[in-house]
Amino acid sequence: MTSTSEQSTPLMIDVRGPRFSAALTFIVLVTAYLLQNPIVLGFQVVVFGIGALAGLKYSPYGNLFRALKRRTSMGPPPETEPEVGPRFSQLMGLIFSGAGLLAVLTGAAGLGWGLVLVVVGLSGLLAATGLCVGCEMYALGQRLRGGAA
Amino acid sequence: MDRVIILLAVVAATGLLSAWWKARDGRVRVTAPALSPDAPGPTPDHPHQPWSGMPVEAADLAAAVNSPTPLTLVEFTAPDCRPCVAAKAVLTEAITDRDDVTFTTLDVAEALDLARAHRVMRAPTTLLISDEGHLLGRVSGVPRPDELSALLDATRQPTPAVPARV
Repeated sequence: MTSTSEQSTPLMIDVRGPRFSAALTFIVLVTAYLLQNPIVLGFQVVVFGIGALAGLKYSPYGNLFRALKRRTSMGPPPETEPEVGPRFSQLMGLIFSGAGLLAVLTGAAGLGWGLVLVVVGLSGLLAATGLCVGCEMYALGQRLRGGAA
Repeated sequence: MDRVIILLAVVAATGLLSAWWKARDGRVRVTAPALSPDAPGPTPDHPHQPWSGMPVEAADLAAAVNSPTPLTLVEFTAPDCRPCVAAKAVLTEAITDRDDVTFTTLDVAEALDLARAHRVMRAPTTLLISDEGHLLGRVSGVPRPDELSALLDATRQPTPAVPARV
């Protein structure tokens, strides 16, 4: 119905996947921050980039989750969801951590790690409670984008 | 050491944010007037319903949904919104025994002006309106079933379709 309908059947993913990925993101970014290490941060930026730009099918953490699922008896997904919301939240992660990396590399370390801490907080929130702020923003973004269309 | 403290502060702030969110999520805000047993019956000024005297805030919504029943639950949804599906289930379940309430959805992207006019910041956001445009209740997120029942009970007509008393 909307002018932005991409596919009629978006990829459906296991709802546990984004939480698992968020937990890994949290660990990686906390490590990067505590060590003040731009290489570890850069790794996470690349991970965000793959998930956001290529799709969650190619997300490194998502694939790790699927591999883990095959090797353990985790059972079937309790619920599935369309990938668009979580994918949008990966894009938000990419923007914030990418800007953070850029700031760190150009000498504005305080600003850079501040941006990283935003992602640390939000990924920790998703991992711990299942509340995905990026996904909520996607719904809001739909409304704004609808206004432009 | 400063870094560890800052990190702990961020985690604590996130925890507070989460607690605040959970406290709000799915809360049903009732704006319908409470019906008491000795509530005044219909008067010439307020011919039909207890809320007839309330300000009409949602006339645009009432016109848009053009409901066949006196009351309507309007759920603002977004494409690919997972909680919207859960909200829909809760809402349809809550009105199974009510023939005076219908349930309808509006896509925020398609009903943009209405979403803005009613400050819909999240999908799902659900409003309970009368066919005359009175706003009787509001909830963002998946409604808490007990609170939703309380809202619907508050709007239940004790004696529907009774001719006006003199």
